[in-house]
Amino acid sequence: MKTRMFVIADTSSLTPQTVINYIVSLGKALNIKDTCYGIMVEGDDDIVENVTIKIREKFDGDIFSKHRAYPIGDERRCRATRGGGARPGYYFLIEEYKLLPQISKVLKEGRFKTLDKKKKKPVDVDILKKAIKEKV
Amino acid sequence: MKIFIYPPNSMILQDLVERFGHTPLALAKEIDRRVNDPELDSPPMNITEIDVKVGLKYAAIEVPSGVRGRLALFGPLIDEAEAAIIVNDFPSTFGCMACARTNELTIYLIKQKKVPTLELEYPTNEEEVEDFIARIKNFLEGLK
Repeated sequence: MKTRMFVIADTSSLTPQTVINYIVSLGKALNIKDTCYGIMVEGDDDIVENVTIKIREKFDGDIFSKHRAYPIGDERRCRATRGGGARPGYYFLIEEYKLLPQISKVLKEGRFKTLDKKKKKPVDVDILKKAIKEKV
Repeated sequence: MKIFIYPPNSMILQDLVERFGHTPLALAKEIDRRVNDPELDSPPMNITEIDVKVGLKYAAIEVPSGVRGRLALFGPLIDEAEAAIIVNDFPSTFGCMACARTNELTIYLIKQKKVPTLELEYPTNEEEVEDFIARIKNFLEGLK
């Protein structure tokens, strides 16, 4: 049994319902949960991996996925039984969620260009000494 | 190839590694093995004193047990790694919230393993994101 979460990029017009409809159309035995960030899918390892590949092919850069350790609705993680508040791990997801629109755009446009980064050199000591002498 | 990612629970890195045709070694794999075990000795994460002993393989005895417990999760992934991607300055790995000592030791262990490693900075704008993805893509394609 494996659980995977699918997070939809903020800028995408894709909705969790569209993804669910697509998964249902595949006709696989899966447990699916609709969430605020996307969906969670649970099922046999092979089926989940197969569905992940198909979702990636279909929705490309609009959707991102990761393996989730806890099953759907697990009492140790689910907010419903923990008295509210964000579940542990959600803060990390929020941080990454902010970057998804930019990653999605780059992946969709296929722009893979590296920048020539030059390390900034520290200011020369002589220049600093000269500046200090002039101003002090 | 099996790629260790740092931070080990990063969704972006997991997704990119899978997209470019490799297997990410993510934290969920180790936690999954523990939390879905029929024997629940120490909920919620099921990290027991045995794990802390396992952590001794990766850190000295005087290292706090919390760090060793975490390394018991990261360590087996590092052992399996055939390559690694390290992203520095990840906002969520800042300070004690993410256990800075464990993070330092994790990076040290990867570097000690001497596997092909890509070290990047966390991107902050679109140009840097483009560079970030391009470097990961080139690195992963070069491994094949």
